[in-house]
Amino acid sequence: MMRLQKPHELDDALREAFRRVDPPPGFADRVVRRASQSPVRTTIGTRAWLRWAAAAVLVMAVSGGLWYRAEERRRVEGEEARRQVLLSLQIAGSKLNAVQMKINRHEESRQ
Amino acid sequence: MKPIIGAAALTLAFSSNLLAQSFQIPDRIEQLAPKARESVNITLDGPLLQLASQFMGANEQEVKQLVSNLKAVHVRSFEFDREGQFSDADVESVRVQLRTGWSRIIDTREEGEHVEIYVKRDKEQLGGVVILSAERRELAIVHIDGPINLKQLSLLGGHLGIPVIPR
Repeated sequence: MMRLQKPHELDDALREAFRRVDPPPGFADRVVRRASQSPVRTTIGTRAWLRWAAAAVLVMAVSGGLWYRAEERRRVEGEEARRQVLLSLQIAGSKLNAVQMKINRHEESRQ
Repeated sequence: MKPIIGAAALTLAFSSNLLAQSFQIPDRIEQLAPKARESVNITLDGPLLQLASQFMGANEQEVKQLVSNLKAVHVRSFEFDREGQFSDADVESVRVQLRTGWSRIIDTREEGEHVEIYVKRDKEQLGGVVILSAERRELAIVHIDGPINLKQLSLLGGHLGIPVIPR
């Protein structure tokens, strides 16, 4: 700690401490550049990431919806096709049954 | 020149034979639907049959196996309010297609009911079946296209009312 011998020495010490010192060359430019670049870069990066995330969610949601719709349509078509197959075989079966009964009756009457 | 003509004739004969064996529901049969009180119109091709077989339940595995080998199934069934809504010419339009490449294995007539069963040979097995049933107020045509052997049909005996075919 500086020890002051006389009252006027305080003035000298203060004057010395607050002496105007010029910054090194390019200091102002570097400060301005740093101040203008860093925060903006972070904001842009965050916004871009959010945009990509939103786009990805949207694409996934649309794809999922389309897949669900296609799968649902396929299920309805499959169930309808199954019903038609069973109905076809039922009609064919009933006709064959009728024929078989006639043949059996015919054979019984011959015996 | 002669071999080329011979090959062309052979190809033509082969393709016309294939054409003769393929069966299509005649237009005049399709036109009966508006007159019918009830009608069934089923046309299932290969992809739809494959899709249908994917939705068969655990108790329908034999049907699934049968269907998985089929190429197509066509059913036209009409129920009319009164007699005379279809003519012999309508039924004849079906029979005409079955004259070449098809064999009639059953022909029964009883009390106004006439049922005919035609089969198509494909090598050593049945390549298709057509059931033509004409009653006074009903007409039904079932066409099953694809390999069906008697064993498969007999396996379905008792299922869905399908009997074992008499040999």
